[in-house]
Amino acid sequence: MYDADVIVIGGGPAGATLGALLGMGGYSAMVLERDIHPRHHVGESLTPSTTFVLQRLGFLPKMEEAGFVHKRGAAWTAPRGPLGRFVSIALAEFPAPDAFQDYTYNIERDTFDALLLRHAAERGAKVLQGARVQEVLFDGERAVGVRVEVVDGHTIDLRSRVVVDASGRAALLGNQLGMRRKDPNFDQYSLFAWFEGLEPPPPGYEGYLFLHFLDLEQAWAWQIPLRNGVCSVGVVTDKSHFLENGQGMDEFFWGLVGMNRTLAHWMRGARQTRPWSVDPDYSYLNERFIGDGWLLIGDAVRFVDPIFSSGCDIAMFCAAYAYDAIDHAFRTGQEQEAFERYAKTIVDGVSVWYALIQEFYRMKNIFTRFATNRRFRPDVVRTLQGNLYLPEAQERAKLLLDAMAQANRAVSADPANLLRPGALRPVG
Amino acid sequence: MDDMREKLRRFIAEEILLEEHSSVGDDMPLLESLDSLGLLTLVAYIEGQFDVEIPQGDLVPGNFSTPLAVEQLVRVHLAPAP
Ligand SMILES: Cc1cc2nc3c(=O)[nH]c(=O)nc-3n(C[C@H](O)[C@H](O)[C@H](O)COP(=O)(O)OP(=O)(O)OC[C@H]3O[C@@H](n4cnc5c(N)ncnc54)[C@H](O)[C@@H]3O)c2cc1C
Repeated sequence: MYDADVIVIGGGPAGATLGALLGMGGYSAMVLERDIHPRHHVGESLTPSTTFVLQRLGFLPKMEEAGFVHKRGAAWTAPRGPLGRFVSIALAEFPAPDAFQDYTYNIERDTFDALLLRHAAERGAKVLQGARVQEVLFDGERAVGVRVEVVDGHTIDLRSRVVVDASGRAALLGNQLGMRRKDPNFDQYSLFAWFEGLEPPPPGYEGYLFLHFLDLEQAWAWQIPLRNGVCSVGVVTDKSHFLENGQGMDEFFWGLVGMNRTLAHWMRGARQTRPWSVDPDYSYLNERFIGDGWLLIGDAVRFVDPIFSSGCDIAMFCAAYAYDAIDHAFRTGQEQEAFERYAKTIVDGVSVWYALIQEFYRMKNIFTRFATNRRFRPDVVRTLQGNLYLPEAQERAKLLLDAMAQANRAVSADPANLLRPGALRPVG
Repeated sequence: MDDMREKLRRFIAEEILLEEHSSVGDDMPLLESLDSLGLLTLVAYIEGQFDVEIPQGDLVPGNFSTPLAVEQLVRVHLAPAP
């Protein structure tokens, strides 16, 4: 006897998306969420491609109704540029062939996640909140259900044909099976809060995500405009720079803000309206993410770095591909084959994101050169739109990455090149 | 060609340095006010406006030391191949 066809652990974007798709497909799904939504969460700017998944769920009307800020592009500033000068890319410049709108969204995750989880329930998933899964239950090698704490100290066991771990960075199954590894190349930390009273961006750039590069290796800040004049501002640094010498968070944050003239200027009248959120230690991966009767989706698979706002894109596309795999497995009985195809699709897509992140950190100026160069700009824009799980997108990204790597080598070999980090240090 | 000089100077002043057009002279030292985004914005402008390709290898101090040097760089790439 099963309690559900599929048990989904976690009701974030990954879990809620999968719950909705399973409900729509006529399967019984149970989504178990530890917290009670709405709950605060980091990750407030979406890629354009997520709109395809949101549309498939029939969720876009609800997003419009909620009035989430329309994000039409992204822009970035340099630490010592003149005040207010930035480079930008717009979604409308090179829309995907099947794009139906030239914007995506910035989202307050408390509202967005709560609405999406409710949407999953409306599409037929059973959603249980305040239900913390303690462990996945196995019968030999096969996942057969979960043990969930429903009231303090009181647990019940629930059984399903497939168990999906969408527990985010908690990585429940990754930890249970000892599959979670620190990322060998990244160790990023971040600190953010919400603010009011930032200087508004120039006309035409409302809703843009701004990235501000700081006068410090590997460090940058995001500025995400939310509803009602609120802005999320966060800083990202390598762990080695984080909260040095017992610094307080205010001092640390404002110190980094001061490392970009434009950001410092735009924030000169800003007032913090939410306590700090710290996200430490978030770069990791799981060695495996499918097995007999189980799949990982979203952050539970891997998370590296938020520079390209790829987290929710990965979470929601994982959910969509996991749905296809589960549906195929249930209809044909060929679970292993279906899950392996899922794993390959996700590995290929996530590896492209990873390579882009690496290339970006290797030399930011090369990225800007490609984004501003006539020949490469279309490919840069199309790649950063997301959905890197399709072969043609991967091919495009691969050519771009190869060209960037080559440019990188050429610049590194040329001591006079002005694209070398620190080659240009404007004074005053 | 003077049109090109004028366009370049205006762009360097107003879009790169965010200053009054008249405050930028042909021999004004650029490198101490130019940052990487400024450099690449200028290069993208040149490539689009004058329909040339500035190879990455040309992004060296000598070609961007003054507005005049930038102008010469553009002329080199505008020149028809021999
Ligand atoms: C600094 C930083 C900035 C970011 N910026 C962006 C951005 O701009 N854009 C973007 O798209 N992404 C961003 N991300 C990534 C984004 O936060 C995640 O990728 C996204 O939230 C993943 O969704 P998810 O559903 O996989 O996980 P989550 O959203 O974390 O959801 C997991 C859910 O599982 C629940 N859960 C955990 N353990 C259990 C358990 N044992 N039992 C039951 N429930 C459980 C949690 O309560 C949670 O609700 C950022 C991340 C960081 C660290």
